[in-house]
Amino acid sequence: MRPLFLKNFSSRFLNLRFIIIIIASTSMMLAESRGHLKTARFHLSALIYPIQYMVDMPVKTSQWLSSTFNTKLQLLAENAELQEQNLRLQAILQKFEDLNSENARLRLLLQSVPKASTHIQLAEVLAVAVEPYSRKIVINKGQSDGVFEGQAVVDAHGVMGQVIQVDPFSSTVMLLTDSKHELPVQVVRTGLQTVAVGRGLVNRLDLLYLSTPEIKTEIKAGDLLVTSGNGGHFPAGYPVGTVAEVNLDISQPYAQIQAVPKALLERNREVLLIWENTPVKPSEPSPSVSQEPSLPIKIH
Amino acid sequence: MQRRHSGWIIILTFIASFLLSIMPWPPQFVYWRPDWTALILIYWTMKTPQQVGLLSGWLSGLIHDLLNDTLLGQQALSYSLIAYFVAQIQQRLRLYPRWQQAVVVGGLIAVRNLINLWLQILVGYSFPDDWTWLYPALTSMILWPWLYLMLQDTHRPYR
Repeated sequence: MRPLFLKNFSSRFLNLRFIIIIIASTSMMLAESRGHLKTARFHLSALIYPIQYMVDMPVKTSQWLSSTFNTKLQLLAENAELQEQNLRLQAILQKFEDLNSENARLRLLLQSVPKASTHIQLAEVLAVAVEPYSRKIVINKGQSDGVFEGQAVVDAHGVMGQVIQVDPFSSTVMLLTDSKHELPVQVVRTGLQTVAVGRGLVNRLDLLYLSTPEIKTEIKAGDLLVTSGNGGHFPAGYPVGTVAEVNLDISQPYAQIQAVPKALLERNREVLLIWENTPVKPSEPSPSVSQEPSLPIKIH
Repeated sequence: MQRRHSGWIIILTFIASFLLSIMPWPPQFVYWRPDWTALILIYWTMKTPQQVGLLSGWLSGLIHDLLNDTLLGQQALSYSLIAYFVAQIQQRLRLYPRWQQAVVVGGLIAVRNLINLWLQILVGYSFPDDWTWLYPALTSMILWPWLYLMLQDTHRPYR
């Protein structure tokens, strides 16, 4: 009798249970796509951190082992190289300090708002893979370190992306190249503004809404793109990428322009998180601004 | 012959499958990563449907949603769909020769990937214009016979 009972048990209410599960999953997806369930995800993700930690640990251990058992000669060579690099960077920094103070002085003369001060923290990329159709990484800093949603993430070369999900001890970063990521950028050489969107490919960005005839002179391959600071999410002036190819197809409404990100998106072990202290806005508009004739907004 | 299996072994194999599915993977083979959790889920649903089934599928899918940062419920739905079909046909599936089982497994995983990508469209991603979504089904299919033997060793005493 027993096997018979078990068979009945396993198939009993199977359809009903499946329908309940479909309804539960669908309502959860709907709720989350409308921006609910944030706290549920936050608390649940503390449960999966051990899994991510366990996957990351062997990688970290092997790195630690290789650095521990480096030969003395290797370390000395590396030390010399780093010292040389440090000297070079300090020389550049001296110039930067000079420029910074000059900039502050000029801003004071113009009576404009002082630039925001930034605070930077290092975060490590967990050696954890996310499903391949979106481009995301997981870092080891979370809410306990003050990470917030929408925070800018950069590396030594340029912008990497932004934080889209903050968990207690880790957070998920959407890379620039994710097909849902859009970033307002500016061509350094001409000041032309556009939006860089990812394509879901490893190292490609599309530049949108560029169609004016004079585009040919305003953007060309090799131009450097920086964040324009429009939209408020990203601090302005961080390098984003270089223009790779400009394709002026008359049959298309917009020119097809592609760029290559500057940051080493897939190869980084360490990334930088940026906190921008937003400056206090002046209570009344300065007279120089109000006297200016209102210019028609030029949209490319 | 239905008999209870050690719950610990089942849970451990599921945890191992989560670890394997987020392990660093060479970027050129990223689309070929086998669907470890689906393989484990199919095996246990087939072997002991009274212990592993819809609910285990749903919960492991939920863990995948958290790990992969997909909508909560998305992978939960696709994994419980796999569990549902295997629970429906488990008695026939157990009698199939190994290669025929592998074909069914590959088909289920392909359907799961399709559903996942369709659901991704709702969030704003576009459907990939290549066949990469079929690759995990192929690798899982190849792995099935070997995984079957390995998992069988976990609950069958040596003679």
